[in-house]
Amino acid sequence: MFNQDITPYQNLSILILVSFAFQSMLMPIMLTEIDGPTGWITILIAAVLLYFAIKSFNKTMKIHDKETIVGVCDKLFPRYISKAIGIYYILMFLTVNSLLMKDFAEQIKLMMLFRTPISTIILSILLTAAYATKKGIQTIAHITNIALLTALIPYLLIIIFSTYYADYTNIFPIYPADTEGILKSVPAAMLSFLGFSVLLFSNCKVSVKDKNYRLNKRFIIISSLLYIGCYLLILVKFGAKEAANLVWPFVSIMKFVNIPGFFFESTEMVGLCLQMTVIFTGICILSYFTNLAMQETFKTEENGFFIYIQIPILYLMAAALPGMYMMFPYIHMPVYIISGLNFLIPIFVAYAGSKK
Amino acid sequence: MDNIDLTQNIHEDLKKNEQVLRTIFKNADDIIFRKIEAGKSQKLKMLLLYVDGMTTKEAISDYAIETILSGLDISNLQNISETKLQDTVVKSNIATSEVQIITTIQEIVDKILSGETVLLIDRCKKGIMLSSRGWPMRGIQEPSAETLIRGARDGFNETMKVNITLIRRRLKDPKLKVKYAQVGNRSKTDIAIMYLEDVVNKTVLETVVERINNINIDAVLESSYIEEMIEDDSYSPFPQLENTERPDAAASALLEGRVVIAVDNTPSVLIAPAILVSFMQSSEDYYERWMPSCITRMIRYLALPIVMLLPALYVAVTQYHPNLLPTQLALYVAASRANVPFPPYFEALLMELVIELVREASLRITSPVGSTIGLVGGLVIGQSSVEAGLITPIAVIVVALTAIASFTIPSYNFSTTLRMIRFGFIILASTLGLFGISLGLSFLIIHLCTLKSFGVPYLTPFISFVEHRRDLKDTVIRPKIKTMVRKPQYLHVEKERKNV
Repeated sequence: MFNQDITPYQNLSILILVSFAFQSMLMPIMLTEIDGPTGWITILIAAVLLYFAIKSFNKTMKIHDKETIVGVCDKLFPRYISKAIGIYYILMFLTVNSLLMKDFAEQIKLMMLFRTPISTIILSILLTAAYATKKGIQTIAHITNIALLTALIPYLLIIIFSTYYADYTNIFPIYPADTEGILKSVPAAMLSFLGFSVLLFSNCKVSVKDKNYRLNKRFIIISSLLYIGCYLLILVKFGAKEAANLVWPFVSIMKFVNIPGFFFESTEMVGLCLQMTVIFTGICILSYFTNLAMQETFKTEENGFFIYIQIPILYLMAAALPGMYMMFPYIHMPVYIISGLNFLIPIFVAYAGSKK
Repeated sequence: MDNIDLTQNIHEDLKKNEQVLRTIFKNADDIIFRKIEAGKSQKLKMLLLYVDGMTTKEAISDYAIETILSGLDISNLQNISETKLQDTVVKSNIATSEVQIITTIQEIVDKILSGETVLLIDRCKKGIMLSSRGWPMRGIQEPSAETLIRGARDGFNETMKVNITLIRRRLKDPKLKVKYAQVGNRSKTDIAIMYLEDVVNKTVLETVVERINNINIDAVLESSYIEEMIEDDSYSPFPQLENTERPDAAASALLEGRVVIAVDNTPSVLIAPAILVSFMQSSEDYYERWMPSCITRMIRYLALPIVMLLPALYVAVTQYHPNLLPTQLALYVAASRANVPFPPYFEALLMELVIELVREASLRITSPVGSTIGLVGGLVIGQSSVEAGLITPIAVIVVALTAIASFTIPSYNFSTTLRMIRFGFIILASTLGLFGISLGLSFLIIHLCTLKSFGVPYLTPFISFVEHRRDLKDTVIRPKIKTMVRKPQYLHVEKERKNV
């Protein structure tokens, strides 16, 4: 009755939330790469590609429904390939998590705690996230649902109130579209759907498998609609040119919130508090799935203690990495590589699975 | 006493039994040993044992002693068998409602100490327990901690059987089952586990029974002992079992499919499992019209963050983020703080401490003086602190508002937990501002997400709001009773549909 698995909808919440946290971080890349307001086409292309990738991968997963992608690889490939895939996912999760943490810590430092060292902020986030990670998948799923109810929904509502004085002509012209820019930014958009990589690990923890596979596809639809909605919102508020100069468009948009009767002077701080919950949950999710990837790769019985290995690694990576805005000029190639691997590995596994 | 084996069987020789029992109850002057010699043709020796004060004297003298002395007539005593002798005494001569045959010294001791009377007969290896419990008890009064404007005025008292009766009066259903247990090696406290057989979740029931049976403790003086011994996480500050003084609330919990635990000597019952939402509900929500109740409940939920966070927000905003406030208010706060010697966190902590002191003092003093202490504490200390320039008027408003908000939480122990957590938030706000509060909230949410009450997640239905969407309607709002036709989903009850 009270089993330890998560429900399909809890899994859906995890996928949507972790994607949203990453989408808000990677949005500026898309804004700078495309000349014009046609980023939504990029998102659409990325979503369609991922939709079909999920569809084909889930066919393989139906045969190995208790396994993560690493477990499936163990059965399909020689050991060194599955180990390599496992290590890739560990490194990928660690990298994106440290990026998210660094970006988040910088936002807090610049907007809330000017005099507090960034390392203190990173460490406090890390330790709190470690507490959640140690508690297991159910706790992570519960936190995600609470974050969705208490933070993401109010956060999105507040963003909607920022349409005051918005210029809706900013979403035009669609034609002629910057085709090269659109295609170049597809990898960044695909990477923004980080839930796609997470589901390769989370699906095995879901209690009702068939419903979960259906909801996996729905995740891409909901997440892309959310992404397109936020993209268009930033566009109507700032315009394509101005938006391209924003480091944190989601926080900047908060400055222009106009809620009738809202008496707080600095609304971006209120928004930041809500965003904090969303990103913090994202960090917890990524930490947990890094642990799971470690467990699968190194074949251990339980994964809780891996967080103690993660803490110093994440701390050092987050402290050593420069801020996202400093990385923008150099981030394109790593994004192409990571995004490409994230997309191709499941396709490759699905192909191998269908052949066997 | 130490050398006596209590598990030994009752001896055939009455004198030997008396000797054993007198040794056990040495220096216990309230244990009465009444010797009787009854029988018209031949005299039969008997011994009545009971505790003075725990039995109804009428039951012993009128229905036991008198009937035995006047009615017992056994001829040919030497040849009669032990069973027949016992049957003759029980069937024809004792008029008490409940009679039970006992075989060991341990049983004799237990029964006597529970207020029953034991009759030992010479030449019999078995004793007879005669129901005679009766002691002075408090009448049924209005519950002091859960008063209502509209609703029944009767509350539980310290006698478990009375409490069971109060619930039974509300649920005249043969499916309402009561399981007895005894806990406490020395106190031998009676416990009743109540549930609706066709509704209750069997797993929850089995867990409750198993945990109660596993308790190994000297004495249970109040239900809180049981609560602490059977809850899922005893390190958590949050209560994981609900307690109520109201029979209607207990009946309502039974109807939902929950388990009620009544403990003797406790004027309240425990309800398992308990989730956060249940601590925010009051019986009156369902007795008043649904729309005002709905608004009242929403206000209560609004009070929840006020109780926990308002003083911390005051500290964070004044100390770290004054730019959040409207300019005029920020200027006023700055001006009022100009002559105050303490930093905001100290101010908030000091005032919160004063409030807690006043609250504690008013609880310990008799009620008329207690309310005066509260008034004097609140008004005089607050007013004079502001006048002395020790704290700002805003700090007084914040602390007073927090205290008032804490009274709107229907569950006393839940409200106490929230009040204590508030101190942690003040410290976090004073070190990391709003970020500290967010961090604390995250920590709290993680803890609550992990917490379970008898396998049911504490934050149900919020943590699985799609699967348990039906349960959401009786959380922040109170739906119409007509629409509440199904039992709560989160309990996975046996019979889902309510009989309406």
